[in-house]
Amino acid sequence: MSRSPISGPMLVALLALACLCLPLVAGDYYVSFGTEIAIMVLMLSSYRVVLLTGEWSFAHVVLQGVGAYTAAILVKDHGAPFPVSLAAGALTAAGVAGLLSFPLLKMRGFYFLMGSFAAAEAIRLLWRKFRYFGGTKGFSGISAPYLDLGGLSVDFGYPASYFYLTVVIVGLCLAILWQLEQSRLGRIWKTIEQQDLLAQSVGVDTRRYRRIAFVVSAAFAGVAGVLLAYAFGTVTPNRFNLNFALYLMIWAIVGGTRSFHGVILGGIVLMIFDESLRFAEELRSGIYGLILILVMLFWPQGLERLIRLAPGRKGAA
Amino acid sequence: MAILSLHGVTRTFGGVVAVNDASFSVQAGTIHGLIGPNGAGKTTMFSLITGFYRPTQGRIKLDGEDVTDLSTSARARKGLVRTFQGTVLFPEQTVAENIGNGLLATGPHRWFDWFAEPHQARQEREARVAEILEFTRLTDLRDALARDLSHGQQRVLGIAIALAARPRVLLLDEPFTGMTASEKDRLVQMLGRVREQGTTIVLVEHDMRSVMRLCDRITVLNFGRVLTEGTPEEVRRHPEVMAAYLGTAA
Repeated sequence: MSRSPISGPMLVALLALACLCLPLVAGDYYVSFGTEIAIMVLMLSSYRVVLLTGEWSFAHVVLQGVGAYTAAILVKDHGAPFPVSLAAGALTAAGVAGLLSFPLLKMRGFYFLMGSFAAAEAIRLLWRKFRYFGGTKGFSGISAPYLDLGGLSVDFGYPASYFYLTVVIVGLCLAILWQLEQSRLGRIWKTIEQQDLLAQSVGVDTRRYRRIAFVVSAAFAGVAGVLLAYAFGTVTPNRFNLNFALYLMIWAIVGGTRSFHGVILGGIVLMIFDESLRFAEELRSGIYGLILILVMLFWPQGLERLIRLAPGRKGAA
Repeated sequence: MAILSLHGVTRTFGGVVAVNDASFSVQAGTIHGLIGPNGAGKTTMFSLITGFYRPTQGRIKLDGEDVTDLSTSARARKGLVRTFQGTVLFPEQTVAENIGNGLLATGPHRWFDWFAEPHQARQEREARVAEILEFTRLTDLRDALARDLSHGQQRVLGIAIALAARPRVLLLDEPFTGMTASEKDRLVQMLGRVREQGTTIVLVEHDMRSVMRLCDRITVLNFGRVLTEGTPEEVRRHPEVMAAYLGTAA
């Protein structure tokens, strides 16, 4: 029954070792970049939860933004400590997703995708419009977390210490996501993706479990958002615009969404690739377009769900 | 004792009356056939019972409880489980995994195995899957992918998934379609064993021979109405049934 990757534990060990070594061998610039990779890996892995139920969403990046904004407001206006803003970011993102799920989950496939886009843009407009959310400039100067355990105090204001903090939190989140996917909940998500009507016929309340997936996915996007807010010290509405939502999708497709480790490895490879494209900023979107086309042509596995999204879902709508 | 009953059920689509004031009941522990010429409203009736459509009028009761307003999945959790016409399976999963999916909503579980399935729950689940594999004679194929099975095997697997959900009433949508004669024989035997276990079966079917062999009671539909109901022998001799079938493609 088990078709798990052969070298699962080995992969985990390698990644952990790489994370441990990075700050020892690389400069601050690359360590901060490592932090960004870790956050992106969490974004992709949590995005996968929605993909497991057979939906593509444009809202994931904006839900990350909800987490980031929650942290920014809590830190700037209320001086909240890191654990509080982390929990609040996750819960707020989950809560917003829960509310959005009521209109959105009435739709499936392409309509859900469009609905999620509209909802995401509405939230982004709220950020831009209202001074409470910092308007178009957002927030800046979010101070780094500082841990004080009696005698021992750690300042996470350094790239290396913040990198370790991020990696530990992302690692914990990945462990939870992995466990969820293996559980009954994860099996239910997969049945919904594969045969919605058959799942219903054996008693699975598909809308309820799609809602759970959307909310769980958003909670982890919220965590990624909080980590991002502290990493950059700034939160702006443009950091969560359609471009980023599209890139997230492209990376999920190109990286492959079939397996849990697929999105992780895909995320790492693509982040490094993306960074190496910095020299050719103007060509970037063109190069991504080309990659997307090539992947669709020669390696369509990662694309399977998106292709099925158009006609195959009609009967279930 | 009636386990499933329809009371004055009507369903219209625009101006078309697909099912017209239909009432009948299914006795617990029987195999009940729903037949009729093409366009008689069999498929609409099936969809009304499973909850895919809601009736325009009338009530549907499961074991005395009104289920008219429940969704398909809620009805399934109450024991009204359907199979599909053709092959609707989880094609990329193994036979055992397919059957395991039938247990997801109704099988042994507690809320906390959302996160990690307790050892005991896992054992119970695997035991139940093994039991159903044995019952449906699919044990040898347990690790085969569903898409690699023959058509007849796939039909049986569809019923196995439904059985995993512990139905009180099993609704079969044309189970014999596309089967060879020997596959039909085996399915007739298997459904007999399902009845022996106390599960009521309702089936919509075109294949007259199998229906006559298998069913305890038959309800005949024509133009959306219940034409008659009785034992296979009674139905066979009923003059209006003959007329209804001879009037169309019999």
